[in-house]
Amino acid sequence: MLEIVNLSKSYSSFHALDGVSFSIERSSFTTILGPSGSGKSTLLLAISGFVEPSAGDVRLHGKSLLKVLPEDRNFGIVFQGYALFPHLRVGENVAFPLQMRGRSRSEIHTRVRGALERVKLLDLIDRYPRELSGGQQQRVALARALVFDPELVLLDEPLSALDKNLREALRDELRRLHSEIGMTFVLVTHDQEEALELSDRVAVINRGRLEQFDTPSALYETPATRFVAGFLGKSSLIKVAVGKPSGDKILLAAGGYVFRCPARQPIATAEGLLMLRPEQIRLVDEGGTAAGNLVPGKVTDRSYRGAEIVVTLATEVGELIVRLPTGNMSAAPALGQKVLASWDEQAGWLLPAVGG
Amino acid sequence: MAVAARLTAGGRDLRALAVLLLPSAALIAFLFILPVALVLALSFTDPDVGLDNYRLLVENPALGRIFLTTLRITVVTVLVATFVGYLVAYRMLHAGPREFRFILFCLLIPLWTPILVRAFAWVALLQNNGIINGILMDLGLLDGPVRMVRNELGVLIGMIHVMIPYATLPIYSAMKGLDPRVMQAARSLGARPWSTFWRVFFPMTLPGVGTAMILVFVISIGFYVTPIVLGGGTVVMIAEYISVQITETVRWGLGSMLATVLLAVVLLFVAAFRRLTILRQGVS
Repeated sequence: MLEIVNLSKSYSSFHALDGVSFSIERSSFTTILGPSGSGKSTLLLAISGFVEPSAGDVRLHGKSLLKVLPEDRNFGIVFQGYALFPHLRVGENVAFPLQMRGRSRSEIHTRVRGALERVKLLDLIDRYPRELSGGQQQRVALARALVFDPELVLLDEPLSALDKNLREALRDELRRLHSEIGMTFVLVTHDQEEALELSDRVAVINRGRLEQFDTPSALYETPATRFVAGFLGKSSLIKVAVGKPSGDKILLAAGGYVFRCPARQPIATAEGLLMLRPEQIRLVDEGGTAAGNLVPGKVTDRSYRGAEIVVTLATEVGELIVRLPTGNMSAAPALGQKVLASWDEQAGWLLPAVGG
Repeated sequence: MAVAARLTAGGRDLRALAVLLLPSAALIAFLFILPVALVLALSFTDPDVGLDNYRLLVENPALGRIFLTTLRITVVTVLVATFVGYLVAYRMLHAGPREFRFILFCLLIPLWTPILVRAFAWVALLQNNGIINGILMDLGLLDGPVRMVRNELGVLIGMIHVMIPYATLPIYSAMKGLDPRVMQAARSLGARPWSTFWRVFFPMTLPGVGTAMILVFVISIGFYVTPIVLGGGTVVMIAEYISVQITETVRWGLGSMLATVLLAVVLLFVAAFRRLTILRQGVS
């Protein structure tokens, strides 16, 4: 429905965006994810029409939007900091886009009430924004962006100003809202958890470039670059020499050990990085045996997180991070204890050693 | 218990603060409040004890006229200076750094120039054989000179010129404090530039406009030098009239009565206007 085509934006010598392309499906929830300064805000401003791209195109239903003014794009935007009208009451804020479209009084009345009911703020319709909490303001901004049935709802870091509990509650609400009304949502965030949890698709942006555009599970399990692997969740990276594929496995050599990993994608280089997610690694007592890949190591750090214990191992192939559920009291090893780390030959993902 | 402890600590702090503030408070009371109070008291005691001076306000129509002239000039000055100030501030908000510095320079230069110099400069510009009349006649736009000094127009031009920086700066600071994303939000919601300005930008700048209007009003109503020079005796504002009572006719009672009334008008106006702007600020 919305296509970002080879979009670039430069400010004198600085490339804020560099040839970004992806497309957003109707009714999907798409997230633009990146660290601060990655160009994701520039991308949002280019989609909404406040920044004119240096090259490339933004197309809606196949038609270029470049000549279309922001006020004509019909996108509902929830700005960072919400940008509510401070001199207007909640109801008047939500009515604003309808008034601008010349809707009738009675239609405005019913729609405003409907939108506020949807975000559970109907009883605050006569308040001023400054009388509301951050979470309530955020929901007013959301109601205002939804009330006129926009083509697209753009959310710029909508949850970043809120504290953790509220953020999680609003995250659930956002997901519920999206599935209820079936509009196309585009979220801009630096929070990888938010991106993984909410989105159908995530565009990972780094230094103005699109690193990967894929589903959350594909990004987490099969990242295209080292940046994506590191930005989404924790992982251990083992530098390996890549051998020839044998059957559906590839042989990898590192520090005198040989590992097997699934031959899922061709690796052209002789060097690679074997990525292991913390939950893929199990610990076995020293002297024990286990199937799959094995490497001995020593516990150098352990941190208790309630549902899990995160253990760091020093091994001959580098540092490994292991996540152990605390539910089973078979107990995490003590600091300094020697253990064997093991993982399935089905687990692991090979990344190119250079780039990213 | 903690609250009680804090209260006593607060009490101790307050007492210490009072002791520290006492010398400066006494100084202000002695050098400022006392003289003003004495002058104001004169209006009830000179030449006789009573309200005789205040009766003049009703009995002498000339006094009412002077007050009316003063108020009329002040109100026009407030309206025009605030309007021009709004335009200048809006331009400053959207100017590049070089243009911004230029506008700011143009605003500050007059503030650094003595008010007497500015008044006489306006006389030179505006008088019948002055530059402005000369240019207009040379261009054939006028047959004879238009009277622009020694009348209310001259006083207004001079006062508005002095007041424009006072109007511009509070308005600019109000505009500068706005979150530009709010205007972007208005556009994204479908507002054309005209609606964005009138429905969103302008209402949000009203507290600054209110501050500017109070400031210009309070300064303008007591203007002295500019009306004397540019009014040339034909336009008498209240400050000049008071000065005449004190220094020339030596009717201190009358002069201080007028000063008291002026002070009351200013305080009433500010209180009334404050209420308005507080309403506005309550919104922003």
